Parts: sequence; structure tokens; C-alpha cells
Amino acid sequence: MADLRASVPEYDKEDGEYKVKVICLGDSAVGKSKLVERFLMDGYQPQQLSTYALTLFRYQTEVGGKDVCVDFWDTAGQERFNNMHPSYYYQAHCCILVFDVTRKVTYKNLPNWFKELRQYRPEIPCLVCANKIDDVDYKVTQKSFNFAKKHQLPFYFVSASDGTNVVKMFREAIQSAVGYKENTTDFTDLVMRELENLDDLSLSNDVDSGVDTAGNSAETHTDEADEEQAEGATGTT
Amino acid sequence: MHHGSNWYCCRHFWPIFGLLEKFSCLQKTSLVVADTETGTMNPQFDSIGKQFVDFYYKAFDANRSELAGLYRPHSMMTFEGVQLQSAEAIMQKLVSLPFQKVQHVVTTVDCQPTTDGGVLVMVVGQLKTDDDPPHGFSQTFVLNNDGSNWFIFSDLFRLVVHSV
Repeated sequence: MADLRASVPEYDKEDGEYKVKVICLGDSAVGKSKLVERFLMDGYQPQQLSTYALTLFRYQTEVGGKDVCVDFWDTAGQERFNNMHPSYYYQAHCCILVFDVTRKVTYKNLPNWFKELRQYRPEIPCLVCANKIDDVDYKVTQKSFNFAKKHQLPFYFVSASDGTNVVKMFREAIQSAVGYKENTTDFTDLVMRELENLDDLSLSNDVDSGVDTAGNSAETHTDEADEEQAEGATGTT
Repeated sequence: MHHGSNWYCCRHFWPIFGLLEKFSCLQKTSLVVADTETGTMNPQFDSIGKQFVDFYYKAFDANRSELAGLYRPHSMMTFEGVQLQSAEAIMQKLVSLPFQKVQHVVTTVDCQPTTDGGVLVMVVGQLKTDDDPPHGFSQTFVLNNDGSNWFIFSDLFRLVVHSV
């Protein structure tokens, strides 16, 4: 299966590039893709991973003087048919939770999305966006949407079509993602990091181990990490 | 919804489909093949299956609420792993799917006769909802005949989406 998986990026492996994964969540047609496209503007070709029903947008930027490669994950519409597969959440560092101010049901569904997110990623930062504020009277921004307040999540009124707050919101998402990666206290993340460190040690003992070896051994350790997580989970319950 | 597509409404079209099938069967000397090992198989299984698929997705894409006539109280559906029974429950599921436009493009249809005179149909294709990228899907049906019309006894649907 290693070959089949090769098209999906890894985020816990440090192979020279500092990578973070930001996922977009929310009902169909709330404008998740449009927001990412607005932020990236022209010149970005999203990568369609149709086998997985995913769209990936890659963005290179700098956070605190450090080069960061950000992958925005978007759902490509399978959420219309079923729940998101757990792999969508896997290794995510930040979540942008979007609803459409013109469709109340998309706001009412936020708790469901949030619950599912927390099931897989209990501690990653999550931002809430009220999209399409250009579509209604801007007075909507005076309305209070309690969901974000209740869960103490940063909240933005945004418009993918006129750009209001889009850059600001995405900058915060990227910074939160990097901040999370740096300071995570999440158990599974720490296990992953430990395993990466072990990997580095074993590599440094290997004389002249090439890049290929590094790739292979990291792959093996990912599998071990899955087992480790499973054991950890049963141990704590 | 899609006005002007009512020509394809099940109430009009489905009985005709049933009649067509009966007429085409009459041209054969033996309508069904009875055998102790194979039961009663319908020799027209392939054309029945293909006509059905053609009709089903046209109706689904034009106005899926009109598919109601194809399901019966004992019909079963497994939609993305969720099990449903009865025309009512199935239609509620299909109608509530959150998209405005949908288009199915069928790649392959494979049919086999069942031993009780019904038809097993497996479809592989792609579908596109609203502005989303296309997804692969796989759908399997068991069609039965109540003596005058064909109906869907079993319906199993999956998007072909893999985990990473």
C-alpha cells in the first residue's frame, strides 16, 4: 500500500520542509473552496486527489522568519453523501470551520462538525468563519453567533467574493497551525514526535545512510506509531 | 427543479418500460428457463438491466423524487453503509441529499439473472454534484417483477472514495 499512499503528503516527517496541514470543514456549498481560492488568488493550481475525493492547495509562506509550506485540505464534496473519513483529520494542525450566513442550517450543523473534529483532533486550533456576508445586509455582522463564543473559538465574518477578512483569517489559521505544531501537548502528536526522534537517532548511527533509507524507515515508523496510538488509547480508557 | 422533464416521470415511463420488456420477451419461444439447479431465470436479464439503468439515472438527474414508483414497501437500500427499508425511507434519503444539480455518467453495466426471475445489476460510473469535482460511484441493484412491473428490491450505493 506504500505506493498507493505516496500521493498523499505526510506532515509529521521532517524531510527538510516544514509542513503544516490546515483542513476546511463545514456543510456543502458554504464556500470552503472559494475562501481558499480567494486567499491564494490567481496562479495556484489546486491538486485534485480524486481517488480520495480531496482537493489540496499548497502555499509557501513565512512565519516568524521560518519558511513554512501550508497545505489547505478541502473536501471536494463527499460530505454530501457521508461522514468525512478519519484520514481527512489525520495529522491536521488547524481547522477552519465555515458556515454560510444566508443558510441557517449550515450554522446549525456547526456543532456536528465540531464534535467530529474533536473526536479525531481533540486539541488543534479551530477558527469559525461566517461566510457570504456580502450576500446579505452587512448588519448581519452585528448579529451574535454564539457557537464560537461558547467554545471560545476565534470568529470571523468573511466574504470569499469581496475578500473581507479573508487574508486576516488565513494568516491567523497558518500561525495557529505552526503554533500548534511547535507546542502540541496532544498525546498522539507527542508519540509521533518521539518516534521521529528515534528515527533520527537510528539514522545517525547508520553510516552514510542515504535519503532513500530515511524515507523508508520513516514510513515503517509511521506504521508503528499507529499501533502505539492504539495501545495508548486502550490504555487510557 | 427541472421543469419540462416530466416526460420521464416514473408514472408514465416505468409501466412502458415494463411493457417493452414483456413484448420483447414474447418474441422468444421460451420466456423463462426453468431448471432444477438454476431455478427460473429470465433470459432477457441483460436488456432489462440496461434499460433499467438508462431509465434510473435519467430520472434521478431530472427529478429524483419521481423514483418513488420504483421502490416498494419491502425494498431495501444500503446507502454509504446506512441501511434503509421501504420506499418512503429510501425516498426521504434520496430527496434530502444536499445538492441542487446532479449528473450521473455510467461507465459500465453488468447484469446477471437471479434464480427467481429477477436481475442483478452492477453499475460503475461517475457523478457530479453542483460545482464539485466528479466522483466515482458504484451501485448494485436487484430488480424483481411483481407480475406486471419491475421494481427495485435491493439497492446498494457507494462513492468510490478511498481512505489515505
